[in-house]
Amino acid sequence: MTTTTATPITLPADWRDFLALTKPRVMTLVVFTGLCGMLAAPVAVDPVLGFTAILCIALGAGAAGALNQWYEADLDAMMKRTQRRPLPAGRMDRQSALHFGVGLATFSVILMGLAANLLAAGILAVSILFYVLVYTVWLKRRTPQNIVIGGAAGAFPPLIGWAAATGHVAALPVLLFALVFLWTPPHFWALALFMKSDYAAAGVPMMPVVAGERATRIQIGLYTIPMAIAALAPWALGLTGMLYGGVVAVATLVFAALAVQVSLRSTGAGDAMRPEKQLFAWSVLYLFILFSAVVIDRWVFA
Amino acid sequence: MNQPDDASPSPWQKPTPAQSEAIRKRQRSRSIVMAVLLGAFVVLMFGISIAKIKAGMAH
Repeated sequence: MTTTTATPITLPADWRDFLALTKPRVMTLVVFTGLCGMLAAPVAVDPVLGFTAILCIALGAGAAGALNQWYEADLDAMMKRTQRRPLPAGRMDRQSALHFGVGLATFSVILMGLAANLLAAGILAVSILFYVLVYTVWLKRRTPQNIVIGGAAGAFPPLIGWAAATGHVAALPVLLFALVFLWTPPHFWALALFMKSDYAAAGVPMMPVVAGERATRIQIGLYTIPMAIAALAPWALGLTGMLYGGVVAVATLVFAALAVQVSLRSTGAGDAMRPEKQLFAWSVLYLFILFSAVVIDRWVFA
Repeated sequence: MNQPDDASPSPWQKPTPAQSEAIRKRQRSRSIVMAVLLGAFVVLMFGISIAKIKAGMAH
């Protein structure tokens, strides 16, 4: 008698799971900073081409998110925050996620090249590859500096938006790149402080897990200084007007006050981590406020 | 003997009618989404072409 083990029936993944694979919430900030980079550029962009360029930034970010989830399915399964994602929850097979990610990345870069220009397409390709290969594959599981260097991946969108509009790169988008790059460590380390146990369970060497809370708090305070300089630089160098200068001064003061509060704190077991959560929430709002201010300022004083 | 001589055993479990219906439903919804996306892509390519032609004429 021949016995065979039948392969169980698996449902094809739902389209909503493919959407979840693109990390739509993370994409919001990426699309917004890319849009602001484009709107701050000193040229008028055709609405259809502008829309397509922003769509390509969104699709590229979605592709990077999908490939990140494809590679990190084992880590996601160990973390409470991520274990309900399509792959760890078993709603999708890994091959589908890989094909979807690679296909979307290729499509977004080619479409950017057709609709905007090769420079924007090139920077988009670099940002996707940086996020997937440098951050996800190389750094994330190896060093607590993962989000410091990996932060560059999330800083590319204003540069891409500007390049899509003008065909070249200038000082302002480079400073906006620097701002997002230097904003990433205090933003992520604030999150890591109150999600420490999750990262520790998954074995991700985030700063609070490897170096401890005290060192992380000091690093948050220290990184806020160059971030504030990068935030003020567009105004100090005369690339924006007083409106941006005023907004950035107030918003950065609030950021610095929250960062100092987090830096000087020491917590015991069962602490609600309220200042850390406040810093994290403000850091998200901070970027929205600053990028909005850049665009409004450039439009008002243009 | 459980299997007929001319049939090799299938590695796949035979789906129940309920599972077949669920698979068909999932495939249908994915097909609809794919059709909408392809339609949007065609419209977008048309828009890009018009914008590029206009930009070319302006130069």
